[in-house]
Formats: sequence, structure tokens, C-alpha cells
Amino acid sequence: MGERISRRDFLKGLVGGLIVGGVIGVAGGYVAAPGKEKTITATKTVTSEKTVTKTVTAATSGAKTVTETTTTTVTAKPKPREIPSKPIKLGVITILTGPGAMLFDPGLKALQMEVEKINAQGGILGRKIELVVKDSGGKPDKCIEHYKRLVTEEQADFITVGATSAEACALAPIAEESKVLTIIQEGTATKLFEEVDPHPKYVFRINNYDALDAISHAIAIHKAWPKAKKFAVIGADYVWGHDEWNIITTVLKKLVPDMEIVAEAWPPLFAKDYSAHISKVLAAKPDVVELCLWGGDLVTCIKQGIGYGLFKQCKVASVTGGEYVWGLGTECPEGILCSTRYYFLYPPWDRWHINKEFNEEFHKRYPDSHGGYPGFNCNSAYTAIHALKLAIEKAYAITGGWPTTEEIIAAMENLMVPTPGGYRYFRKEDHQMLGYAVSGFTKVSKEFGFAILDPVWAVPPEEMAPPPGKKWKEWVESWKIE
Amino acid sequence: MIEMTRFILDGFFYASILFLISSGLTLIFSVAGIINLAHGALYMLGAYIAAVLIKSLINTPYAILAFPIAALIIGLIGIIIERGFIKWIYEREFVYQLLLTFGLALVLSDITRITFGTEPIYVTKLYIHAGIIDILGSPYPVYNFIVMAVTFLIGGLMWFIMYKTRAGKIIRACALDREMSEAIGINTSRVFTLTFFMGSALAGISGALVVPQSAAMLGIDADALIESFIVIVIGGVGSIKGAFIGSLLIGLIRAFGIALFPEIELAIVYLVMAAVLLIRPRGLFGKEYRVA
Repeated sequence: MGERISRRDFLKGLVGGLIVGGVIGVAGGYVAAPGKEKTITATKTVTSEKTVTKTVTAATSGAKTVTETTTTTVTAKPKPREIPSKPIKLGVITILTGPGAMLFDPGLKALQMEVEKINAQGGILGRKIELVVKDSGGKPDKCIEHYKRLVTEEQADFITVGATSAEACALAPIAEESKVLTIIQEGTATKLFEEVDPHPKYVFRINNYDALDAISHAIAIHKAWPKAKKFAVIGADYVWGHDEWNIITTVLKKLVPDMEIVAEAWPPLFAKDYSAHISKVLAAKPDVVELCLWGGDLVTCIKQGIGYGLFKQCKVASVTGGEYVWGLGTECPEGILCSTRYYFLYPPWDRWHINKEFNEEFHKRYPDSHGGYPGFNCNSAYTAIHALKLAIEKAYAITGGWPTTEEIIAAMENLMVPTPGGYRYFRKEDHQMLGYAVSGFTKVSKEFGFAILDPVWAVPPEEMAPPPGKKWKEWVESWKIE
Repeated sequence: MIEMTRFILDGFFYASILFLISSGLTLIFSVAGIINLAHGALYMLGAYIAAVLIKSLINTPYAILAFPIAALIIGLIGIIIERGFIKWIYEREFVYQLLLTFGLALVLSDITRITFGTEPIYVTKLYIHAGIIDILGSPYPVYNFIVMAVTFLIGGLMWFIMYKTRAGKIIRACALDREMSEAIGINTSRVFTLTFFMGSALAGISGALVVPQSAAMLGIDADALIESFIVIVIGGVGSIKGAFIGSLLIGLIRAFGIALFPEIELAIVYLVMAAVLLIRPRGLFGKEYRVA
């Protein structure tokens, strides 16, 4: 900011200078008034851009000569920062190898698609966007190494990240130090903005974080089956699985005080066989079974559940289901309560053209990716690049020049972004983006060739997101339920 | 009672898959003396090949051919691996074998990713259409019985080949003493190639059998390798009978572990392995073996 002078300062200086000069001139003239002949010469010397020397000499024929010299340092009009001619370099760190790749590969595709579209329309303020893509493989040390390289060697203007929770938490402090605007799309550890980086400046996050997923899902479960009391879980045996279940049960306990947890089964990630887990859960005769699994694990577990009659004996819900049930094709059982961060059919296409266009374009380009329709990481990729574009354009409208990172950040805070998944905005206090979570029941669709969510409804952010600065647990426990 | 039966069935089913994977690994070790770390990657590749084949043939009765074809292709890849790479290091130190096979594992899993993409391939129809039967009043998928039956057949076939045929005799002779076998005129390098074919085909068929009831996805290779290691360490490295008993033990302990101690589902298997190693370091049916 050092060299830059704001418009306001400049005006103050200019007006001040003029008033001083004017007053002196008038005063001089008045003093010198007796004589009829009167010469007033005013010279204005601009020695440097910032110093203006004004000399006002008022002379009358017989009387004395008054010379007043004022040197005012005014803030000169700042020239708006020119829009650089070189392209905007957007660093992208994501996971393209290992089992996590299935989550991030479609997201990168959507990002490339949107960047191509924006570039075809002239880029951002005429600057084309250039992507520099790095693969972290899901490893925090690799992710940080790539980040530092992008900052120092590639001189990336902005960086967007699709990462695991561990990567995001390791990255945030480094991003703050580097002072590069960093948009985390995925990397949804609840503690990122609750503990690791509680007052973010350069870091923003797009996707609903884990606590929001779990709280909105628990609300949906209660709404769907208000009489259910006995709950069971089959969850992936790592931090995420246990955390989600902990949050879901905390919320359910609040909503259904006499609920009980009748069985828990914790298969490892990427397990191939869930038979024993399903048997165990069924033996406890629960009302609702929650599947805290994702990706191929969830599809496998649902499939094996069919063989074990799981869906005939109890209600089934899945916190990530909306993202993955397409994988079961038309064999998917109906009536599974699935939640997700973005669902390709919500808001309905006829009511929200951005969603329709986004889906049709994605389907045309990548008919084989993710069942042919964008998932939540595609929506967040869209959101990342369009939020950046909007923020830069907004800052430009105010400053009249290419904005600094700080100005873009200021423009981004509380920025409302139209995304395929509806309007979403970055909360100023913790830079977390808030938007709808979506829940619905599976229903086989002949048109799509897999089960879609129908009916589908949204859980608004006000219902699931703790206010800024408040931890989810304190917030949920402070609910007053009649 | 119903639950008990279910747990035992679940245990048997898991044991079947474990046995198919680990028998290939142990067979290669017993004959060629190589710990093939690429075994898990071959299993994964087999799953992908089968998934693609089943998917494209799903509406025809030929879908069933996906299983032998996947086994055959992976068997051939096994031959390429043995002839192309491993044959050069039989006499080298153990570390070189580990490095080489581990490198091959990485390359194979990358090839899988590049060829088939990052997304899992799901095949659901076969599993569902195999049917669901009633066991003591609760449903159970027929496909699980099919897998158990196929495993039993393959296990029987292996026993028959190894103990009732001339080829089996030769293989066993090579396993016992390579130099002596060569001295009496056995072409040992051909025997090694054959063993690699059989071992890899076993990895392929197990991957293929897993596909209909789960999915072909990245990351299943590491788990498969680790679990089959546990099995063969318990059963005794190099012993097919050991792999059989080890699989049964792990399958059943896992099923009951999930039911009774869900928090230590993963640990319980390692605890059993540790206990076996403490009491009988060479495994239940292991021979004293030398590391080349």
C-alpha cells in the first residue's frame, strides 16, 4: 500500500491547496485594493508530483507589493494501476493420483472448462487466465512444496486448492505468510477456520465444511423420520468418518433426546467387503442406519446391503450419498436419504439457468466423468474462478485500475456469487463460503440411467452454520428446542 | 443363531477372497523364492479388466467369460514380468527383488490409472441378478456362495495339479532344490515362468471375483497386498495349506471381531499375527526357509 495514495487523500490535498491559494489571492487583492491599478500574478510551480509551490504576487501601482508564497504538499492524482498485459497465472494444487483422484479429477475438468469459457470471452478485464496445475497426491508435504514453488518460481497471482483436510490445515498458515490470495475449494476440516486459521486474511474456502455437512444431514434425517429413535452407523475408520458420526449424533441427541446408538461398525477405507459390518448392524435392529462412507466404498456398501436385505429392514441415510449413488445405476434401492453439498439437479434447471448451462456443457464435454454430471467439486471449481473474476471486476470498478491482492480480498468478503448450486457468499469474518446443502430420497430414473434424488430439498445455511467465531458444538448445544 | 450363521458365512466369504489372493503370492514365493510386491497391483488390474469386460458384455451370457479372460490376461502379464524383469535377479540379493517388484507395483498401478481413469468402475447388475436367498429367515446374496464355490474349486484344482500331476511334481521339486532339479534335467526357468503365470492368474481371478460385489477402484491394491501378507505370515510363507488355514482364521476372526470389538477391527488381525509369530515364528505350516 505504501506508495499508493487513495482518491480521498488526493482530493483532500487538492482542495486544501486550492483553498489556501484562493484565500491568499483574494486577501492579497483586498489588501491591495486602494489603488486602481492592480496586477495580480500567480505562478504555480510543480516541482515534483507531490509538491506544488504557489506564488501569488499582488502589486498595485503606488503601494507595496505583497508576495505570498505557499508551498503545499498535495497528494498528486495517483495514476490507476495499469492492467498488466500478461495473463493471470492461477496456480492449481489438486489430487490427480491415488484413490482421492476420483474426487478431484472432475473438479479440475470443470475448472478448465470455465477458464476456457472466460478466456474466450476476453478473460478477466482483458487478461487471459493461465492455469498451472500441480498434483499433490493427497500428501501434505507435497502440497506445501508445490505451493511454495507456485509462489516463488511460478509467481502465481492466485492459487486455488483441492485438497484433503490434512493438506488444507497444513497449507493455511503458509498461505497467510505468503500473502497470496488462496481459495481452498475442498479441504473441509471443521477446525481449519475454528482453530488452525481463525482470522484468515488471504485464505478463503468454498465447500461446506464437515460440520455443516453433518448438521444439515442430521436435520434432514430428523425431518424425514421424526419418530426414529434407534440409530446405527457403518463408517469409514478414520478421522472424517468418526467426526461426521459424532456431529450427527450430537445434533440428533438435541432433536431426539431419547435417541440411542444401537450399533457401530468401522470398516477401514477402501474396504472391499462390508458383509460382516452389515450383519452386525442388522442384528441390532436399528430404525436408521447411517453410512458415513464415500466414493467406491459407499457404492460397494449399498450394493452389498441389497444382498443382505438392509434396505428392507431399516431406513438408510448417507451424508455424502448425493454425490455417489449414480454409481449403482438403476439397481440402486429407492428411498435412501442422501445429502450432498451440491446436487446437479438443484436448483431445478428450469428455474436456474446457470445450473442448466453448466450441466449441459459438462455433460457434452465429459460424458464419462462422474456419471456425466458435475459433482460438488465441479461446482466449487466454477465458484472459485467466477468469485475471483467478480471480485477483481468489483475492485476495478472502485479503484479504476488493476486491483491489489488486498483490494480483491476486500471485494471478496461478503461477495455474493451466482453458482450452479444457487447463490453463495463468502462470510467476511471467517472467509467461509455459505450456500445450500441438498438432501433428497433416491429414486431410479430411466431418463438418467441411475438413481436421482427426488424429491430433493435444500437446507439453508442459517439452519446449519454456526455464527462466525462460534464452534459447532457450543452452537448446537445452545439450541433451544421446544 | 441367525446372527451366528451370518457371521460364519461372512467369515467364510472373506476367507475365500483372501485365499485366492494370498495363494498366488505364496505359490510364487515357494517355487521361485520371490516376494512379489506387485501382486496387489496385478489383483487391481485384474479387477479393472474384469469390470470393463463385464460392463460391455452385461446383457449377454458371455459376461461370465470376463472372469477367465481377466485371469488369463493377468497371467500373461505375469509371464512378461518374469521373463522381462525378474529372471535377471534370481541370484541377486533379496533387497533387489523387493526394490524391483515394488517398482513394478508402482508402474502397474500407474498404468491402471492411465488406462482406466481415476473413477471407480461399478458393476452392480451381476451381483444383484445372481439372486438373494433366505437363510434362517434373513436374506443372503447368492453371489457370495458362488465366490466360495469357485474358490473351493480353484483350491481343489491347485491341490490336484501340485500333488497329482507330473507338472506338480516338477514344480515341487524345483521348490525344494533348484540346483538338484536342474542337474536331473528339469528346465527350471520354464517352471518359474509357469509358476508366475499361475500365481498372477490367481491374482487376476480374485480381482475379477471381487468386482461384482464391490468395485474396481484405485487403492485396493495396497490393502490386498497387506492382507495377503498377514495370511501367509500366519500360515507359513510358501505353504498353500498355510494360506488356506490362514485365510480361514483371518476371515472368521475378522467377522467376529467386527461383531464383538468394532473399535479394534483392524488391530485384531495384527494381534493374531503377532501371537502366531511369537509362538511359531515360521508360521503355522511354514518350513525353515532360506533367503537367497
